Amino acid sequence: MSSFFSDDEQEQERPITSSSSFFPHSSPEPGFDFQSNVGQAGSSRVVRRVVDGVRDELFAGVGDVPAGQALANVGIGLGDGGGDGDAEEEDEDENDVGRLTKVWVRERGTPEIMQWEGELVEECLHKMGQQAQMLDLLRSDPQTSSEEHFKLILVQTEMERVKYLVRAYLRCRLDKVEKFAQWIASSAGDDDARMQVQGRLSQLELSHAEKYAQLLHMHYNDSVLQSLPEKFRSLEVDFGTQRSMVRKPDMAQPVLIYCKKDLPDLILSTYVLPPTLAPL
Amino acid sequence: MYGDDALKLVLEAKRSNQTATLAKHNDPLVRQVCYETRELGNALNAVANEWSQIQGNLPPDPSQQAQLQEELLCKIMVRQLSANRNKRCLLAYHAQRLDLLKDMYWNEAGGALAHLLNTKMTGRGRTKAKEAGQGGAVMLVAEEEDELEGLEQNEDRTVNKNGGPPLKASAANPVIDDVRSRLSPQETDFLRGYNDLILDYKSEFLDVLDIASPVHRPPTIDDLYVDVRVVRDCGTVYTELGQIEFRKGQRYMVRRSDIERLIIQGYLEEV
Repeated sequence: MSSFFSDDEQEQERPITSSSSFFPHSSPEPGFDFQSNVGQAGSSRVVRRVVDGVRDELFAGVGDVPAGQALANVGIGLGDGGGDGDAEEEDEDENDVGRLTKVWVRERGTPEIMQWEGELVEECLHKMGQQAQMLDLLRSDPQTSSEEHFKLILVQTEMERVKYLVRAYLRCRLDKVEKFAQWIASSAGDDDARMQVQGRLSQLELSHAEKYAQLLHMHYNDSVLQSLPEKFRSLEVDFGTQRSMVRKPDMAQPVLIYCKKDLPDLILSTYVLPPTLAPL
Repeated sequence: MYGDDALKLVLEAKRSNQTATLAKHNDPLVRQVCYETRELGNALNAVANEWSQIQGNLPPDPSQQAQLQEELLCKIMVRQLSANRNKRCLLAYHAQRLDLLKDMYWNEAGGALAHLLNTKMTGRGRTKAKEAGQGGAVMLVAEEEDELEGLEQNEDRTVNKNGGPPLKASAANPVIDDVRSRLSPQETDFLRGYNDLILDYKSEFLDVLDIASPVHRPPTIDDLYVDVRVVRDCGTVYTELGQIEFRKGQRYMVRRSDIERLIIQGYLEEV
């Protein structure tokens, strides 16, 4: 099924790496508990102070840069995503958005399902929830200046982009989970690869896979299998080709890799150059 | 010849795949292939019986014996392979349809089942609702407003409408039908079940984001707010910034994420 892979080329041309700089800066510090801070704010003076605090928090990254410069930064992100983005990727303590981008790209590029990055997604969702609250507060605050309103729009755009990342990541995984649902949920045989994949799914995905496999089984049963002779009702092994009719990840599929550090020469067991690339 | 009908099904699936068009579920042909496979199954049983009968009283001559066994094995082999091929073709046909349907569910309907089922089709492919004949378009408004209320209730109404008034629409535009009429009953059931599954999955994230929103490209700063014109009344919509009542013909500047689905479903139009 290609339903979630129908993205056009545009996406390839617009990586979202480098413009993500606003987001991590604007996330609250570890000790900052937005809910309780606002909740305790009884008098209007305290509210004022909290709002100002939020403003400082939210604009921590945006405020230092003149508006024009900020826009230019966004422009780089939309355009080629090159430049300092590459340097950032090398960085060990990369921000959440950078890591999420990597995880998403890896998920899209591999035939099998990768490890579920639950913590990372949770973290992003949590931060986004907090930022949405901050945004609401500042937007309705009469003291917010027009320049700050402009910055708010930048922050909102950034949030939409992070939402896009999370969404694309989840949808990509969902697609794979559904594609291999029958295989993941089947209990026949004790396949190491399958156990491994089951371990990589989140609880939600695992239960989705099971329910989806059941749904699929019902559908095939009702529309085809029940009108066939009894011994032809299994999906497991095809007598003629000895191939199973249950979809499995194709581990022989080529993938793109990125070398993080130099390695000595390796001999790959099944490496064959395509004829067009073979040395003359 | 065994397998000819099954091949027709596969060709149909291939054509559908290449043109990304959902064809009507070919029920007669599917039945035909199932029937053929059952016949093959019966024939297999008959040969198997023959085999077990022969085991007792084999002819004394070893060459005759081998020939007889080979004959029977050949019979079994051909029938077994044909039946398996039929099964594979049938499953491939249905799997391809499911893939296409899921594709449409996500990419065209944005996860809205009622909208998907009522998408109008022509003989050649999908069309937007507004391109349907005048009568058809008017009918659609009435139908889809109901659809928003909930799928189950309006099930009956759509059926009623197909029985009565829509005759006019179909007379004006005989080729137009909707996705629903191209599905087998089992496929409609599958989509319902699938929709429930997705709603379950989606609800885990819904407080922050709607995973059914389009993912065909990352958003830019222009996507934050959109200028929309209301094409069809869609009642009051609750957004993060308060409620808006969309009336036909009006224009609004709204946050895209709030009304994305209404654009996909054809209630609003970007200006």
